Amino acid sequence: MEKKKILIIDDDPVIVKYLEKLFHDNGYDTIFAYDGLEADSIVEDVIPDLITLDIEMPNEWGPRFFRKLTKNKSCKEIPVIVISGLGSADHSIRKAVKFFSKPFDSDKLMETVNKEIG
Amino acid sequence: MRTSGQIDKILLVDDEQDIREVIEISLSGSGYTVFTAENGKQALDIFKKEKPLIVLTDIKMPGMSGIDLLRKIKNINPDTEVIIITGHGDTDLAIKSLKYEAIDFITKPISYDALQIALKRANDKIITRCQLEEYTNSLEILLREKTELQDHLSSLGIMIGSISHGIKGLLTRLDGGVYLMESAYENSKFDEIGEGLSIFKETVNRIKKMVLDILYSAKERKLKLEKINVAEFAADVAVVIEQKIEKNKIEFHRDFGSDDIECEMDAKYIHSALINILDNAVDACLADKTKSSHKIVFKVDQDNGNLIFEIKDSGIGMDLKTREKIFNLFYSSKGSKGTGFGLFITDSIIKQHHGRINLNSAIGKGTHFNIKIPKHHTKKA
Ligand SMILES: Nc1ncnc2c1ncn2[C@@H]1O[C@H](COP(=O)(O)OP(=O)(O)OP(=O)(O)O)[C@@H](O)[C@H]1O
Ligand SMILES: [Mg+2]
Repeated sequence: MEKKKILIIDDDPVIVKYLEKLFHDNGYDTIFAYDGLEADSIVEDVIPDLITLDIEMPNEWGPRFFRKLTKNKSCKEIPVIVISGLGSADHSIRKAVKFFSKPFDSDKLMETVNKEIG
Repeated sequence: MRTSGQIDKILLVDDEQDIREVIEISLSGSGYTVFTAENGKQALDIFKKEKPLIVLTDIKMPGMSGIDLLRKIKNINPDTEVIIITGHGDTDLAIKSLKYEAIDFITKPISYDALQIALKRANDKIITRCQLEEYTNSLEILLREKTELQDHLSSLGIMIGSISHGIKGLLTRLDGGVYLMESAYENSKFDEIGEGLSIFKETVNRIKKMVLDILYSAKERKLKLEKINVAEFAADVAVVIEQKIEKNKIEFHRDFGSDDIECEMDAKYIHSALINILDNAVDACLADKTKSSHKIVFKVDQDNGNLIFEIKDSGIGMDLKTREKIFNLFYSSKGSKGTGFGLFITDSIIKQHHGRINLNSAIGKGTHFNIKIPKHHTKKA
């Protein structure tokens, strides 16, 4: 079976690296984008199985990317997990499957990911 | 290097004297200090005394066999690497020795090259283990540093709230650094361990700097003044510190006055200003072992136009010299347990509220803080 693919969107390269490693270690494939615009062009070619999304990013921030995503027919069913230092569960993007506040608990994150696409 | 044995010592065990002699010459030539034994029992005695990290043993010996010796040695110090010497056709025994974690086996007649290859394997394994130990140690130190940092940060309360986005990102980076190290460690990928370590170190430094920046910019922050019900507010403050007080079996007296006192203030700021003082009060009680019991009083009062908080403890108290320094940034008498942030921040918050802090303190008697802030603030033009 082909590995499930996770799109990581975060402007901090270290955090991207962390998430990549974490997901690889748990048997997933990854692609990443440093902001919403990059992510936009990625989802034109590749449909990921799940997306982790930061909120505050340069160029195009999380909520706007999310809005566009939900309007895109082929992408609107993709589960999105918000991982952000900004705000809390109730301030965050409402339709996201889950909100993780930074610094997040990696076990809990993997639990959620596995539940969604594992 | 922290190893539980001697890396340049080798113990050689064989019942045949000429074989011992030949190998001993070869090993000494390679720079090892060689100890020899002619049977398992003698070998164990020498092993316990000299603690070599490499043992070379014949597999077939009268009395204790090489395999038995191997198992006993691994039992005493699992970090020891044992090379087994086998005769022609002892394949089954040789394989059995690997099962008991011999690092390698060489067959008689012993060739110089085979011996060197086996020794190199043993040494590589020993060195790798030392490196792992070193990484684990620095990981422990760094993790402790992270926890301390987080504690300090959370004790700063409001400051964190306002810069939280940046800090939270950095804390996540710390976790990332640790994760990379752990993951690489588990897979013995040492180059990747270094990467995680440097991310970690760099981030720790950035957080340290950030904390300093926050402190210096704290004074410039605008207050968010709100009308606050003081009794409710004080109860909220008490709840935060209560656990720590009760856990340490200190008596806690609360007196929040009448229910209807109101005061204009930045509640978050005053909250952490008071927590800092209460925190210190607990520390002062814990530091004083001369008394059989301790007590902290947290009281709210008012007098013409001012709100007064009083915090009293029965702890160690301070002398005059200390009293003069306590509001200085970084002044702390608590070594690594204190940063000296607490009262510096409290002081600047109270000043921002146009208030005053008075205190009485005497060594052995305890300390009494009295904080006064005006109940109403006229808006500046
Ligand atoms: N109630 C008290 N009784 C005795 N000494 C006190 C008391 N409050 C403060 N001090 C002294 O003042 C010093 C400075 O206090 P401050 O809270 O600023 O720093 P700290 O408690 O050492 O570190 P931290 O910033 O982590 O709270 C303390 O280290 C202690 O020596
Ligand atoms: Mg303090």
